[in-house]
Amino acid sequence: MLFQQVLNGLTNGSLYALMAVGVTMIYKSLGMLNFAHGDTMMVGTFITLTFIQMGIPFYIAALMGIVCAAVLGFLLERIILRKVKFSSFVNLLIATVGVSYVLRNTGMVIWGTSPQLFPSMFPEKLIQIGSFNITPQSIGIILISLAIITGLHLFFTRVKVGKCMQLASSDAEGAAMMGVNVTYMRFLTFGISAGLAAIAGIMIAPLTYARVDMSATIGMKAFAAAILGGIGNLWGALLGGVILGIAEAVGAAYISTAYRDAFSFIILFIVLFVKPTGLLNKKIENKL
Amino acid sequence: MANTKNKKLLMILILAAIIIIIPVLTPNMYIMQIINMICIYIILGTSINVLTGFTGQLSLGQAAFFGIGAYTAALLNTRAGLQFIPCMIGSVLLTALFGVVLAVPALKVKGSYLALLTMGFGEVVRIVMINWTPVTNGTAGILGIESPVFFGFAFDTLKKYYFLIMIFVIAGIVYQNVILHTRTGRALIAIREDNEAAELTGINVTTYKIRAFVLSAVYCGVAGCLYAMMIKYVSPDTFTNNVSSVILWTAIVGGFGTVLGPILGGVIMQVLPEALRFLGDWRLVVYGAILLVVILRFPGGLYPYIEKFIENRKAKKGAAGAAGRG
Repeated sequence: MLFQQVLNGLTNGSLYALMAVGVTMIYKSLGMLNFAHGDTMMVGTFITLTFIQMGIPFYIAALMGIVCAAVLGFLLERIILRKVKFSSFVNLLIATVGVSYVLRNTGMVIWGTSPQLFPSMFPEKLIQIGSFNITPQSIGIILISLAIITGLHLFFTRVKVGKCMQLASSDAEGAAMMGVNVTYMRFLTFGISAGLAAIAGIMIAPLTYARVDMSATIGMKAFAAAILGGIGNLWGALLGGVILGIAEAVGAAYISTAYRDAFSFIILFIVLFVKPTGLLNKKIENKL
Repeated sequence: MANTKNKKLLMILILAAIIIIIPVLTPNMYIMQIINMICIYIILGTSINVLTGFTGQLSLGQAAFFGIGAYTAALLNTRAGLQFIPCMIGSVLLTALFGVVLAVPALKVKGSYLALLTMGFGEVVRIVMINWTPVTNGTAGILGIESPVFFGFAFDTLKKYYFLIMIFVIAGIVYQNVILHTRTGRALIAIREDNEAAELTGINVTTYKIRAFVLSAVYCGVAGCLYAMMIKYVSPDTFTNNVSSVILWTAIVGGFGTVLGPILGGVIMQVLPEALRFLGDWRLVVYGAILLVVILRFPGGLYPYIEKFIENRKAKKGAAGAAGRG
């Protein structure tokens, strides 16, 4: 029973981690949370669903959904955030809240508010190990998330563009002096972050149904995971996501299912109160 | 000197006349309802103006306090049979208590973490509203709240209720104005401008921040109580994240940190969605887009721009007058 819950938690947790990575990337480059992150995920998921319903094969539809979400991320940076960049921090943050409002209401108009079935890319058959049942879905989700986060880590440490992005977000002025196009790097960061959100959304939707209001709860859990692990840190996002997922699954099983969504926020309160820098960050950031 | 005093008195009289004449001129209940909602949103806008506009503490969870106020009033009225004033006192006390509860973790963080913390608080409150069925009646909400009655006079129609709300709106704005010009107001602004510098000059940042949170929560509690007694029904759907965003925008669109900003914001935020009704389902999308444009084009809110515009015109008039005399 406990093992089963931990496994469920790991599955959800690795999805939160995937979302949290996107949050963390933007936080690092812009110094603030992107409150439209969850809504980008929702839009990417629903675009995929629409393509699937049109009869396009799953993988092509998923790819198109991810690309659309990435384009949405690009547009968000290009049209909205670049315009407010030089005004105050509060305006920047509120602009993302505004984008979130617009996206969510657009989603409600186009796709309605009722939950919709989303096909899974994994086979239904259960794998039995001893007395435990493991779905291929859980394993697939965990492996894909791990692979993506490892890939991102390699991208940021080995590939030139990735290194430039890392540099641009940790020291914008220094990077500009070294000849890195900081604005372009920020643009890329938004696109990648939005694409990751769409991937997460496509994997979450079969578990929870595709619904427009999933953007709010999952978006906030992504923030909680990113902060729990230590914002700006890829592995921190993974750790935070996994801890959150397991805490939620175990809490739902042993305390109360109805308050399942509340657990992550309560954990968030505790983290913000006890150690606002998160588990893996030592340095206190001035943005706190 | 006497002239400006007279002018001020005249302004107040004109304003009072407008306030009294509004419900007389209102043709139907639909518009009256909107006007009452504007008044409630002015109180909500003032609440976040105190917290974010003056103290610089961003909050995305005001709907939670609004909801706590409304549910407290609804429960005290339907379960305990209490009248308006005890309900209002209950709402105020409970929201003040929750203001302290949120303020304690909020003291440690700022910026987007604070926004997230308050947003999470709002979400937890909403989850509790949905799931604590024996008390809150779950998603069905609470029905059958009674209209306020004072000495046999019932505020049972929207027009009568308007005057009751107006008392609180005026009291709220006057109190905000008064507090701004006292030691507390100056301390709050100092905290917004520079936390460390404020601390160095001997301002007790902790207590003032807690006070700002409590004051803002109480404003929301009052608005919640008025809302519950007007609509006579509360449900968790009314106190979502979207509402928190709208409350924040009420102050932003009007102009953060200005006394009259929330009034302008309240009017715009409530009239705009009604004016956009011809768009059908798309109206909230267009509403959001318009607000986004306002935020991008007028970063300090509309009120400062209008003030500047009026001043410019006055200056021009003055110059023209002087030229004419010369």
